Amino acid sequence: MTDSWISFQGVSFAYGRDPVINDLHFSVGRRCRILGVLGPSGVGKTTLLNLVAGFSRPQSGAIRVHGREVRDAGPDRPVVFQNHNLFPWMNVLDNVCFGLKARGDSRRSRYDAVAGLLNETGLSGHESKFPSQLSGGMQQRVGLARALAITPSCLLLDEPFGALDERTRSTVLEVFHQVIDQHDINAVHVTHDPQEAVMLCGAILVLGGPDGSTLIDDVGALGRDTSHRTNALRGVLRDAV
Amino acid sequence: MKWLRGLGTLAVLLAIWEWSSEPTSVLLPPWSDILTVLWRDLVGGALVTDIGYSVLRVACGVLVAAGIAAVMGVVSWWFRSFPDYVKGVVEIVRPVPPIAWTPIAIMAFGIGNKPAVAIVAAGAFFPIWFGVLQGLREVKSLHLQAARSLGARGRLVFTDVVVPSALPYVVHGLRLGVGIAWFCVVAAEMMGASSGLGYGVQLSSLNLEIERLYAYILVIGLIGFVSNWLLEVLDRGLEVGRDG
Repeated sequence: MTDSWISFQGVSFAYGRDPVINDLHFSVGRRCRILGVLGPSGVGKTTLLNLVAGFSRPQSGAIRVHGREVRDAGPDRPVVFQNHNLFPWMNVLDNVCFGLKARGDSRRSRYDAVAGLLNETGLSGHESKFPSQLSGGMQQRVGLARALAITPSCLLLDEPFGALDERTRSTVLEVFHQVIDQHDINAVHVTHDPQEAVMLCGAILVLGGPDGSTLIDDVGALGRDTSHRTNALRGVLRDAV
Repeated sequence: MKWLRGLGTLAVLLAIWEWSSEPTSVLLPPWSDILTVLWRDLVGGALVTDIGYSVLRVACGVLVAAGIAAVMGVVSWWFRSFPDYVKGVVEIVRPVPPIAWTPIAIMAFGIGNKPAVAIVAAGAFFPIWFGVLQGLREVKSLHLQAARSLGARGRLVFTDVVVPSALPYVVHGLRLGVGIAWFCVVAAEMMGASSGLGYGVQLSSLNLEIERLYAYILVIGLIGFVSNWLLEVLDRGLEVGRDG
């Protein structure tokens, strides 16, 4: 348990009288950098992410990320949203720098700080554009760069590739892979795509099974390659439905 | 080229007017005579002075209304139930035509700029306030969540997320407010001022200077048109913040 970067201890959450998450216990060790969260629609994947983000408070139990109990939203756990959720009145540069501005960095230092990141995410040359002038894939890169600019210890990803077409998705996925590796951070990745989960995540939490939720803490053990692992995960998901 | 169509209709109407009017007509003097008087008053400076007074009163009144609405908007953001507290008063006062306050404004401020500014402010306030309220309602919770998860709190969330989110609605309210402000200033100046375009309208009608009366009405229309156009440009400039 002490080796875990994220843990849920008896976490329950309900909207009014409808329980969504009921007495959830799990922890993920540091060797699994990315935790995938899968499950049928409406099972509470986004609710779980909102709890980790600190947007909602659990009715009981505790959530810890890197040893600190989650009590409120904070820059150590920025969210990359499915619909990008960029600030449309700000250009790319100001969107990416927003977290640094919140931290109190001067304009010059925040512009200097993100130059490398813009390059890494393929956003160089687009700094002065507004989100409405960018494609969905580019907007998602801005969302990713905005979250990474504040050098968080954990990224929260709410189906970040869900709204992208197949080609854009694979390009953004590649960028995402590289950036996560280079920045050495953990991530909670909510997705509905088993293949994406198997490719990206070291551990996978399947919500909504007959016995509650299932944590697969070693995705490698699901099969010898991506295809076998994906099929095995689909089996777990079918049980959950 | 939509504006060309509108201009075409205007030109046709003016041509019909010019053709059907007679120099001695009390109701419809020829446009050429109206324009001659307009030019003479502009060059003579009397009209420019009246325009200056009216623009000043509108600007001050709108500024006062926008200032009050802005302060109430800030309070509404920090104390979410504030609009509920003021709703009753607002809904009772709102249907009262601003010009109905003229006697009270004159008793309170005397003759001159102040009562006109007060009446303009009373008229312009409500659309601006409703624009502010609507703007606050339209702030997306997802934007607030994004800001919070990036570490923003309190004042930064307000200045960098709430204000830009609400601004297009505030500007829309401002456009309506400026339109109403022009109704109000003319009416107020007709009743309790010794300068301004409304006063000019009143004076020319009392003196039966029908060309001058039309010249003043034309100027009021043109200023209203230009001010609305300027705010429309600003409105369109903010559209970048409305999508996405």
